[in-house]
Amino acid sequence: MSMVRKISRAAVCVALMQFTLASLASSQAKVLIPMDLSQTDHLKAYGIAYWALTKGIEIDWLLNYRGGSFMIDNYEVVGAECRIRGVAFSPISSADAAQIYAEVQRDDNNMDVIRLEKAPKVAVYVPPGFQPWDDAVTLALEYAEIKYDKLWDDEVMADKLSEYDWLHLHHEDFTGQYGKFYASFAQASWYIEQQVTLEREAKKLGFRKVSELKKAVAKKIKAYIGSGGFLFAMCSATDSYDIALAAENTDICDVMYDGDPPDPNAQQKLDFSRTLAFTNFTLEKNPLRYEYSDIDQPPSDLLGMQNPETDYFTLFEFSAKFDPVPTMLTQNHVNVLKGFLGQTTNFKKSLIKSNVTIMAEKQGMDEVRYLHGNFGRGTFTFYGGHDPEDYQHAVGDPPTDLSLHKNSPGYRLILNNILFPAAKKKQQKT
Amino acid sequence: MTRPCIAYLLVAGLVVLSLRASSQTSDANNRYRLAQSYEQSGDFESAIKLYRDLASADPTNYMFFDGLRRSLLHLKRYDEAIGLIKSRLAQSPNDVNLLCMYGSAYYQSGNEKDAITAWERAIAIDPANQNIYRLVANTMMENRLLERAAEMYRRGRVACNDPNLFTMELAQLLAVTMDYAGATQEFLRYLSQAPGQLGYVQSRLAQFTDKQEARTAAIQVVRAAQKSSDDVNLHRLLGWLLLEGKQYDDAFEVYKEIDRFSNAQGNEIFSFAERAYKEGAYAAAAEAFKAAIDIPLAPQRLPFAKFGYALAMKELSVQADSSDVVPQSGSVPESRSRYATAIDYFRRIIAEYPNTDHAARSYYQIGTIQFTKYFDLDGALASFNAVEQFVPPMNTVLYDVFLKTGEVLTARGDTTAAAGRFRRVVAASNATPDQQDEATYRLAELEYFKGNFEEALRLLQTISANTKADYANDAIQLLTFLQENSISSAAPLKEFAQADLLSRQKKYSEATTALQKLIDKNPQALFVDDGLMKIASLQTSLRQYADALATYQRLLDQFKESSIALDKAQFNIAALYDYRLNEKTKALTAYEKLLADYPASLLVDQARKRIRELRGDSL
Repeated sequence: MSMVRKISRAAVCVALMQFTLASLASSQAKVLIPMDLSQTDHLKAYGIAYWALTKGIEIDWLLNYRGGSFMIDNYEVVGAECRIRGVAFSPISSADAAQIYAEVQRDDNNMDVIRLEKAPKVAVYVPPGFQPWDDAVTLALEYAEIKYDKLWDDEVMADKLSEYDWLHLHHEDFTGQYGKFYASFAQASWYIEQQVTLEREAKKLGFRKVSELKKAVAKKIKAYIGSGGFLFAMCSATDSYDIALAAENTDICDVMYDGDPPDPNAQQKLDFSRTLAFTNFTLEKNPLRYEYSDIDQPPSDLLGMQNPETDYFTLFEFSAKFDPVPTMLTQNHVNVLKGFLGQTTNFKKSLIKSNVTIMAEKQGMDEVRYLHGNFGRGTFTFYGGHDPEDYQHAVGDPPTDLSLHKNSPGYRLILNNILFPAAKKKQQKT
Repeated sequence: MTRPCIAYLLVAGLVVLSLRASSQTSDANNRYRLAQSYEQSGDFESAIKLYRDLASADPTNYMFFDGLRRSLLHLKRYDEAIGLIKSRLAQSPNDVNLLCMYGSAYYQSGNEKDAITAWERAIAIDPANQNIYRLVANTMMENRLLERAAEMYRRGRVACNDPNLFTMELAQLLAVTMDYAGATQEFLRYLSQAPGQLGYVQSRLAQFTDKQEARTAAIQVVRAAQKSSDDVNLHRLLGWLLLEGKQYDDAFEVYKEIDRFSNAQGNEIFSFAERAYKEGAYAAAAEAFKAAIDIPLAPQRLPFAKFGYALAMKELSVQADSSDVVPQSGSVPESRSRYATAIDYFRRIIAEYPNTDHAARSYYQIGTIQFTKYFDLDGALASFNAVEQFVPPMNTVLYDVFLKTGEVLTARGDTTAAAGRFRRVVAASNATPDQQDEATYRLAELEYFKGNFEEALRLLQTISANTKADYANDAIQLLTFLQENSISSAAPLKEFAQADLLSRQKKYSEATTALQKLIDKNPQALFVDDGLMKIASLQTSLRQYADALATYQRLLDQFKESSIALDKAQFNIAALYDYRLNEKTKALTAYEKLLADYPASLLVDQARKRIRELRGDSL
């Protein structure tokens, strides 16, 4: 598993010179895939980067240079593949490339070069069978043509996670409350089937209750991160995951979810030292309310009052040379993005642990959209909301056609995460 | 003491006692309400305290006991709850409700073994009592023991010696647990008890028959049931299931059986045929229409079946006709025999039902085939004219016939007669807006062919104003072409229009020659690129693929960046290599050239898709 390291400025200069000389010596021209407003298909551009890595072609990710552009050796196939996938690119000479590298490495520019060298192995935690909702990450992966495997509880419990660099949690409820859809969908066939299937799965794996299985799965995932895995979660997979970790020693599920009442002292028994990102949150005990806790902002039952015209969030700017990880994760061609709702939309800032990096927030509010943190040797990234290009994506709605949103800044944030594990480990600057 | 005095004292004593008892009852009631309030507010500890006091004071009161039980379970104090129920059971050992609660408390505490024992005790009290099985099964379902609950219902059925017991309960439960075969068996059992409920059973089955595996399971069960029963409901259910799965051939066999069983004289088969036709299953539809005709169907429905059969045969011919090259006038088309069956059948309908709506529609179908598939202009005109002979004015079929007749007359060069037909559609008050738009567009074309560009422009503007109209795109295309060329090259444009008319008349060679001469004579005209595109298209129709490639290439070389048709020309080169010459490598290169040279073209998505198909990418 690779991690980012910082190269010392002197080392960079030497490396740059060597690189430039080597480039000149081999007359190796480059292909620049710009990621600013001139890009025709930002999402497929990530797919090109991933495709190149699978072909053994290394890529330089030029952080903060024209929206986080990619520089690749000018193999004929690269240009052809860009054309076929509709990705804008410019063949550039070795001299022009050297000039760009020099600009990026200048001390007074908040830019840096990150070498991507290995296509990450991607897994998505997703239940088998029909789901009445789609998932922004799988939509993005499929549109960008990035290969991924689907994993479910059997595989997680059988320790298959260690075979992957990157794991995304689908819109899954780790609390064992079946998404808290009971009030609206208790009679829906998909809900009934989902509950029966999950109960069988739990019994098959030796658990009496679904909530107990989910807690075990959450622990396995945490162990995966601890040993160097990259976790990415969106929407309610974020808070429900942390809630499951905190509730390891108590029962928070009401009778319609697991057949017995919740522990009346469940709130007091939450252990926040076990969570990744959130602390001191208060559980939503009403089993009929479509909400897990007070982490979610605004609460799900107030979403109707949101105005999409005024709902935006802002990406923070990080120092590319000193904070390359959050810089990578926030690469974009805009820094103010359209908001979008989800079962979990934003995270209440006051409930986020102090060691977590906030990468995007709704300005002027106590609401965080995008955060990142480390646990053990791995990292986790949480991104609120369900579908960046469908403001209020309801259960049963058709999936978003990403060919109509090729330049989606919201979807770009997802794909930044995919390339992040491909980054070559750099030595920390001392 | 006097008697009245004693009586007074006795009455007063009784009143005091009564008041005291009443006061005690009232106090218990108040405390019970308070306990309930505590329970509802989630303060189970306080509720337990009060309920316990109340229950101690009045151990026989069920409400006090039940409140205490509920509150203990809420706090997961399972041992106390079990003890409480146990002590009450000691007073009423045969109370089935208590035994069910007892089992539940054990189950929730994690002790499944003792839970089962308690529920078995309840059954043992009266092993042939169906209500006990129902109570126990419900308790199991509350505890999400769905498979066990189903098993309990089955046991009850055997023990009560009633094979029809719990039918709907089991059917619903098995459907929920995704035992689709089991659920279907129960629904069939219900149907045998209530034969009039087929629609209801179908609606219940429809909960899961959208899933392939569920439908397959249901079909297997119904087929198995048919082996031991001739019930027509089973056939209907099977036919419905097969149609849900679009298994038309199998469904047809079933509907034949239904028709036979119900002595429907072909009506069931006819209904099946209509559904199959609507859903595009033309082979099954044709076979079914034929079967219904052969039975024969009642006389009033027979012409509908015959017309349906002929239409289905025509659609099958269309599906089999892969040639998109329309034969030139006078040539013998290779696929002439392909539509012969359909035409023969339409002619039989005309003969059997003369001067009817079916005859008119049959003529229309024959004429359309003759024109579009055979380019048999005389034959088509004769067919369309026949409709005009007997169909009364204002019949909307007539407007479709006029439109087609106008096209045929245009192809014959009789533009005056053609215009007459189109004008009748435009003037008809009951023609549809689509029919009127088409007629207006055809009139504009005729004006263009005649060189009356101003009139053509006027007509085209009326259609293009409504961008929702079906003909709006065609109108805008011709409008743009005329606006671009009618002022600067009015005279040559007339020659261009005449060549276009030749092309419409399938005189491809003459049209090609005329266009080539025109381009040679007017090398600077704005229409040269359009002319080259038309020539290449005509050469393609004439299967002169090498010439077509050369013409497209000439366009690309000559115009470089000054024509809006360049990307289309490059795409057509790729398509010629791809589909006509079967030279896939050259096709790939040509598609890639389109992407490289014309990245903003509307055709790039198609080119990209085709490249990926040719490369064998998994899209």
